[in-house]
Amino acid sequence: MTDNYLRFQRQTILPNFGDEAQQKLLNSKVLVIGAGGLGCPCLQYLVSCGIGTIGIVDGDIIDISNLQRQVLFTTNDIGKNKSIKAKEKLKDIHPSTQIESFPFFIDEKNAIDLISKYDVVVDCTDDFKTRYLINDVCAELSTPLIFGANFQFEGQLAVFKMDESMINLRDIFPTPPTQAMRCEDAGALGAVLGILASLQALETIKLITEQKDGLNNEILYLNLMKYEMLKIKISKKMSDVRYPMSGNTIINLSVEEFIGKINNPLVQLIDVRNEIEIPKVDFKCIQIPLPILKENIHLLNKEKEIVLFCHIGVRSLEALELLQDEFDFQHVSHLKGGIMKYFSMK
Amino acid sequence: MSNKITIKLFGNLSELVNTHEILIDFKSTFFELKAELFLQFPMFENKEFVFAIDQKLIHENILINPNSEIALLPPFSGG
Repeated sequence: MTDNYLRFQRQTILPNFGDEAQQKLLNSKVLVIGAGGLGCPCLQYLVSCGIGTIGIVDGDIIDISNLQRQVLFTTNDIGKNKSIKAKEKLKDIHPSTQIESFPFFIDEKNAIDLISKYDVVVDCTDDFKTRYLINDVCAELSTPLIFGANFQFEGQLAVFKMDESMINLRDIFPTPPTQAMRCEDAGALGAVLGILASLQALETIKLITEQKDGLNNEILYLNLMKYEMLKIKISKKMSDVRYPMSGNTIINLSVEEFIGKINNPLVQLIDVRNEIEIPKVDFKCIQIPLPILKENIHLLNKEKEIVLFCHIGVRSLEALELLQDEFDFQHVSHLKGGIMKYFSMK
Repeated sequence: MSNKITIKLFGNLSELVNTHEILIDFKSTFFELKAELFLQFPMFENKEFVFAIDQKLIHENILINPNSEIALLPPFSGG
């Protein structure tokens, strides 16, 4: 206790902090996904401030081109796994912090398992496919997500609390963008990533210690070359409203019920995700992405029962309302929790 | 002389025009303003970004006033 008192005294004397906030940090479990340009500095601050348990997920190995920005690693670490090396570098900072390294990439199969063990997730990854997977699983599990991303001298930071509003990344960009460049192509500077990572750590600390100010369902755009900053309020996209105005009954299928519909000749299974989305399904269905469902309504057979599904069950619900309200379909249901739920329970 | 309104650019959008701010003719609704933007800056038409007006993400057609702060925000993925 004395050790902890001295160790954290500079932060516990801060206004609105104290031993109570420190105890919250010591009791918290944070999962940092990606131990690269954002992950390395973010992890240093999270361990130093006394987070109780920290998980580090990264399947990548350290390359010489990483060293200008991934500040936990040295020349001798080239060729080693990032999550294992990061744990090694961090473990002596605050020995009571439990550090768990997961030397593999997060994917559809392990995401729910990994994320469900933690209170907060920090997204320090560098591609949209993974970022949307993390977002969707955090939304499904109501796990708060601290999002950070970099483009050259600019950055984006967002806190999705996954509270009743359920505001998440899909309320800004509904589907994974296809055009954004990765740092291999766009360039990246350690000093810029360090600032963004530090802000991610700061928002994590504010969230855990329940500070009343901080990003709250907002996205911050930062231009660190020009010192321009814009804080934008995110609202729930109207199309994502979960409860229909029409008063029609919504039939939510459980995974067991959904499995019962597969291969049933009287049922048309419709995947309303976009073609590029994963995981691919292991059963026969028709793919009609939600944005083009209206134009392709002739592909649906009104004589059959229509069963809709998407990634986590938001877009399929929207499609269901569209079919009921605008096209007068009678026998239509959707998979609650989406294909993520299906794969997690199958 | 028609009134102009400033639009702030972020990310790769500013690379396309080599500046962080552009001026376009003022329009009083969001949809008209969007059409005006693509007319004057066709290079933005097939780019991925969202509009922020007065610190809010905007998807629906709303009224805009001449002092509104408008920004085009593309997605970032680097980390």
